[in-house]
Amino acid sequence: MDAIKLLLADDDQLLASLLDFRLKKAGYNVKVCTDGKSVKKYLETERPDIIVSDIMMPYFSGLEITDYVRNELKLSVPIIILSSAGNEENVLSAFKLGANDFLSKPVSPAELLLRLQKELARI
Amino acid sequence: MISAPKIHTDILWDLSAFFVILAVLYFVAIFFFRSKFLKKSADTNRRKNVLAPLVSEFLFYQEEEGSKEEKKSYIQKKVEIRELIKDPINEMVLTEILLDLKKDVSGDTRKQLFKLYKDLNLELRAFEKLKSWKWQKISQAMFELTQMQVAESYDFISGFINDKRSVIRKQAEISSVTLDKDGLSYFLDTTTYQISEWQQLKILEVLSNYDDFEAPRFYRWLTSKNKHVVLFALRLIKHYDQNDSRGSIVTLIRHKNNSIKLEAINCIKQFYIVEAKPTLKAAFWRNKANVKLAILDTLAEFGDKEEILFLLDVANKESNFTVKSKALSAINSIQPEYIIPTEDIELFDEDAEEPPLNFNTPTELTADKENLPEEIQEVSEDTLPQVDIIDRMYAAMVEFVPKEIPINEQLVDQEISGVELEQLLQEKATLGCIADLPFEEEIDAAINDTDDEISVFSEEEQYEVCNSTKELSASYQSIFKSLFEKSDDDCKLLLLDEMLTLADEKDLPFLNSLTNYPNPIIKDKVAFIKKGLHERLEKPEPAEGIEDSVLEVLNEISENSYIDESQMIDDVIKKESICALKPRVAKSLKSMELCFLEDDIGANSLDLFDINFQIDATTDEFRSSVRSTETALTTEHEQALTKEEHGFFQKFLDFPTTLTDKLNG
Repeated sequence: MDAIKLLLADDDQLLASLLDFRLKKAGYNVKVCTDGKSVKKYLETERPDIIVSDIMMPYFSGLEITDYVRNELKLSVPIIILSSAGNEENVLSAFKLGANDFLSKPVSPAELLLRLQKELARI
Repeated sequence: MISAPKIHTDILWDLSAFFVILAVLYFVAIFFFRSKFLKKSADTNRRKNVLAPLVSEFLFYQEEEGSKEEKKSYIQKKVEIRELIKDPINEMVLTEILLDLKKDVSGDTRKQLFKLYKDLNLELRAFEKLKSWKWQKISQAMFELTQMQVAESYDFISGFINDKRSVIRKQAEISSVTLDKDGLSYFLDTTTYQISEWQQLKILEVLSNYDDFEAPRFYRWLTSKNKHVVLFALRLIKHYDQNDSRGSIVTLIRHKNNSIKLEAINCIKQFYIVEAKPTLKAAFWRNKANVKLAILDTLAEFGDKEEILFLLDVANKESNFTVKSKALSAINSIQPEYIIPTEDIELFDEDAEEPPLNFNTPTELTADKENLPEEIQEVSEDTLPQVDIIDRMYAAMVEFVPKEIPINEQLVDQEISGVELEQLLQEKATLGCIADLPFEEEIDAAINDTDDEISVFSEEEQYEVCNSTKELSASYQSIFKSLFEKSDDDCKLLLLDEMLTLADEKDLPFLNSLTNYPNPIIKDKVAFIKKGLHERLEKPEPAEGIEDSVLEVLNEISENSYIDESQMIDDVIKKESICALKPRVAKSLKSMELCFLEDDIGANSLDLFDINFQIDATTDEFRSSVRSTETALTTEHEQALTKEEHGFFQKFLDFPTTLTDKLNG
C-alpha cells in the first residue's frame, strides 16, 4: 500500500523540517512547501491525501490556499490549519472556507499525528 | 560690476578627487560588509541545515523502540554533534535552533528539547557567560537559561537583581520569578530599585503562566521601604483579590506618593472597604485632582446618604470643573436624580400647564397662597422645591416618627358639632347620594356661616378642654420643630406653609420661639402663619377620611343585606380609623358622614342616629367619658402622633410623587 501523501506548508523552515522528520518517521510521504506559490504549483500537478498548512505564509496565505483547494480545484481533501494562539478570527475564516481542523502553535507533534489519523479515518 | 572670486583650478581638481575617493570607499565598505553578513548568514543556514535534522533525530529518538542499528546510529550522531559544538559558532547556532524550536513545539517534544540542552552541556557555557563583564552576554545567558528552564541557575541569576545595569537587573527579575515560585518573594524582599510599569506587566504575565502558582500574601510588602514595591504589592493584592489587609490599604490613602494613593483607593473600591469612607473624606481636600476623582469615584460606588452632604460641599467649594462634575455625578449615583438639570432649562408658567389636581393631593391641602402676603408668595412660588429639599424633609420625618405609634383614641372623630350634623342632613336632603357627600372644605365653609352656639360642648366645658390642652402644650415638643431645625430656608418656608393648615395650639409655643428668627422672610412668614393659625383655631374642624369606607360599606351591605348593618359599619369605622378606637369610645363616637350613610341606606331603625343624638342629648355622660379618657391618655399623648400629624406625614410621603408629576407636566 502506498504511503499517504501529505502536503506540509509552513514558512518556518525549522519547524517544517522537524515536523517533516516526525511525519516521515510515522510513515507519511511528506512534501514540504515554505510559501503559497510553491503550494499552488505543487497542487497543479499532484493531489495530496491531506494538507497541513500554516496561515501566515509568503505569497498566498493558508486561507487563500484553502479557498483555492475548495473553490477552484474543487477538492475535498482534508485540510488542517496551523495557527498561532490568539488568531481565532483567522481560524473561524478557515473553517468557513472549508478547513477541517486546526492546531494552535506551539504544536505538539504527537497531537498533530492523532489529528491526521482522525481526519484520514473520516475519508 | 560684480566679479566672481578667483579660485585655483588645482584646488577644484583636488576636491573632486577627494569626494570621488570618499564615494568609492563608501560603496566598497557597503559591499564588503554586505557580503560579509550574507556569507555569515549563509554559513549559519548551512550549519542549521546540518544541525536541524540531528536535533530532530535526538528529539524523536525513543530508546526503547529503536533497533540495535538505530541505537548505534544515535550514539554516532551524538558523538558527531558534540564534536560540532566544540566550534563556538556551531554551539551558538545549535542554541539558536533549540530556542527557536522551544517557541514552536509543546508537549513531550519540548521536554525532550530541555533534556537535549542539558545533555549537550550547553548550560555550562551559559554559566560561563554569566561571569562575563559584557552586559549583553550576561543578559543573553540569563535569557537562555530561563528559556531552557535550568532551575539550577536560579541562585546565580537572583544575585543580579540589584545590579547597577538596568538591562541585567530587569532580565534577572524576570528570570528569578520564572525559574522559582519563591522568586517573586525574594525579588520583592531584596530589590532596592524602581520596578517599571512594563516590568510589572511582564512579571504578572510570567505569574499567569504558572499552572499551580500559590500567590504569597502580598500585604507583607505594604510596609516595604521601597515605594515601588509597595505600589506593586498593592497591584498584586488587587490582582489576586487578597482582601486581608484592609487596615494597611486604608492607611496608604495617606501615603505621600500619588500612585500609591490611587492604587490604595482602587483597592478600597474593589474590596468595598466601607470603613475607609471617613479617611477618604478627610484626605480629599489635600490631594490633587486625579486622586480626588478616584476618591469621588469610590464614594459613588459604595457611599450612602451620609456622603451626600460631603459631596454637595465638594460641588460647592471645588474649583476644578472635572472634580465638581464628578461630585455631582457621585451624588446621583448614590441617589438617582438627587440633582436635577438646572443649566439652560427654560422656565414657563407652571400654573398654565398644571394638570387638574386630584382630591386629597398634598398640594390641595397646603395653605391658600392667595391669602399670603405678596413677598411671601414670591418666595414660595419662585423657589421651586427641589427633590433634595423634599428628601431632607422626608428623612427628618422618618427619623422623627416613632416605630410603634401609640394609639390616641381621644383625637379621632370626636369633634363633630351639631352644625356639621345639621349641614350634612341638609346636604343629604338635597343630594341624596352617598358619593356626593360634602367635603371637608365645604363643611368648613358652611360652618363659617353658622352660629357657633350649636356645639357639642358648652363654652365652659370647651374652656376646660382648652386648658388641658394648654397644659399639654407646655411639655409638648412640636412635630415641626424637629423638621424645622433640619431644613434649609426654602424648606422652612414650605414647612411654615404646611403649619398654617396642620398646626394646632400645641405648635403655638414653637411659632412664638421663631418670632425673632434672623432671616426676615422666615420671620415675616412666621408672623403671618401665627396670625392665620390663630384665626383657624377659632373654628372647629370636621372629621375626615371616611368617604372611601362609605362606598365599601355600601357595597357590602348591598351584597349581604341580612348582616347586621350597624355592627358592620362599626367594624368598618374601626378599620378605617388611623388610630384604632377602644370599643367603648368607638361606640359613643360616630362620624357625621357615617350617620348620614346609615340614614341613606335605611338603617335609621338602628341605634346609630340615636347614638349621635345621644351625643347631643346626653352631654354629661359623654363629657365625663371624654374627660376620663383624656386623663388616662395625657401621658400617652406626649409621644403619640395626632391625626393631623399622621395626615402631615402621609402628605409628605405623597408630596415627592405629586411634585415629580407636576414637574413632568
